[in-house]
Amino acid sequence: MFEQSYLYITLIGFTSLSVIYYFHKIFKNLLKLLSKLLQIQPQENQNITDYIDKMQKSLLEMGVKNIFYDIRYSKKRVYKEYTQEREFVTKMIDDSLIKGSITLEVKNNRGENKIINELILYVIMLQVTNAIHAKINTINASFEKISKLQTYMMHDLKNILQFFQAMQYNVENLSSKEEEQRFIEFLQNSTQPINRKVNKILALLQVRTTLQETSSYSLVDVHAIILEYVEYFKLDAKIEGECLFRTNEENLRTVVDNVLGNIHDKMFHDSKIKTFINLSKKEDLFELLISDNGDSFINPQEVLEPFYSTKSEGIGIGMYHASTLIELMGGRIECYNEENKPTVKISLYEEKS
Amino acid sequence: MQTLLLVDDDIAILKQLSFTFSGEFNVVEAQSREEAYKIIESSLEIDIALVDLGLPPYENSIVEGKLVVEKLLESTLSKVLILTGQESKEYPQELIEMGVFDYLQKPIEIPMLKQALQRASFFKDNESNSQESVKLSFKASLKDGLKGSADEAQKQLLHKILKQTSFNINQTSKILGISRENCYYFLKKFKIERPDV
Repeated sequence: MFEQSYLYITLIGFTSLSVIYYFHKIFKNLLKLLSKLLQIQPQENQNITDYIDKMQKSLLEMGVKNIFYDIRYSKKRVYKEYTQEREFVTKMIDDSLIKGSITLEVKNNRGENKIINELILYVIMLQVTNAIHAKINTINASFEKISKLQTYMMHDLKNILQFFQAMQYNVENLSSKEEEQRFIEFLQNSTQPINRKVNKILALLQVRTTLQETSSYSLVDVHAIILEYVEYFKLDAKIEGECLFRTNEENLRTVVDNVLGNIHDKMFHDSKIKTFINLSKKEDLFELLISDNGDSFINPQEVLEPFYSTKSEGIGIGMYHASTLIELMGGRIECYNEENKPTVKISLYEEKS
Repeated sequence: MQTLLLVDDDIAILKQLSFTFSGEFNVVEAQSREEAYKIIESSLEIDIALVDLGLPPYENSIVEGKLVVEKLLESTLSKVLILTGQESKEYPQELIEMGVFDYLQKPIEIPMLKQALQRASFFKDNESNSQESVKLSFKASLKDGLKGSADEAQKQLLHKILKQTSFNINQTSKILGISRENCYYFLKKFKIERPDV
């Protein structure tokens, strides 16, 4: 009786140890695999073929000889043709946006390897579908931005056309000298806004001014320009410093227009916003600091990136355009929060006459 | 001379249109919702309003313009016309249903815009004339006495004004010099229901 029980306990113990060893082996391999696979993150908008190849290379030592796939998404097809091999595992992909299959060619698909291979394939499938979804989102976001850009341009173009329609009609119907005089006064009020609109469209079209032309440089009263825009945007601003500076006036105006225009837009949500402007010139270096007491920049480092906007309506092209112009003029534009105040610093070197 | 309110954030267009129509109307200008509200809330009586929908800070949506239209329809008896660059098939229907007189797309030729404003002006004139007096006719039942006749007169008057304003409660209340709540009370009292569109 005692001998029988002893034999029985030994048998159970041996079986349990074997099971523990078996699972230990699987989990050890699996942990290795998971940490490896998790390190292979797709880069933004990465080619899916490249991404799978990268995964395959790092899985070689895990016994995965090759990855074959045939995947369709957004009217696209990526595939690596399948060759008949002895040992392989296949999984189908079927979600709302992605259809197809992934096949692993493996060294060994027996015993515990069968479970490991299944899990490898499962993780690969998850990673690939995630990468494709991210890619689809990026493409959709780009389309959305382009379509938004077109809508903005169309809207401004329609306004410019409407202005010309009205102006043409008015010119044709001027009947007296007094009316002509009055019309000129009305027209004077229209020049600056129309200039702004045209500049905005040019910015959206990414038309860059040819800066090589020295004729486009002149001695500019920066204080006067700033004052003009402060009045135009009805900003509550404190301007310090005066500065006469030789530069491209049109470009400087566009930059000031974009920076102060952003503060003006903020004022629709908080009319008490105050603007602080400081002008200074040391030898040939001119510095313009514009800050306000509104909300700080959430991501100062992204403000100058194209398509970055915190406004629900914005497309984020204004500050990008400003920075492009300043860089083309050999200067620098920086955005940061100083004592919680969003600040834009423009540094420019004076052009030699 | 009728008063025309021009609402457009584009000062260049505003000035040109103001010049175009200054001979025919007493033109007042607003560049934003706030400015438009100030004019609407002032003592000035606006007869016609030409409103751009894309106003700051949301120039590319109809949010601000729609608020101006709502305020105009709620507080004035003006004919409201839209002149916008916004493209959408839903906006015109939505705004016409709100009570807007006409929906025009930018860019529009000025003679066509003039025509639309003249039409609005004509309707406004007719409305003003017809609102000065309304002819009612009914048979008074002697057994109901004076109270019964008064009720019948009120019911008919309410009916006529509702018809004139295309069942616009705000405008009807304003014409009759009663509050909106009172207007609804009479609708309930006389069992008047909004006709199916």
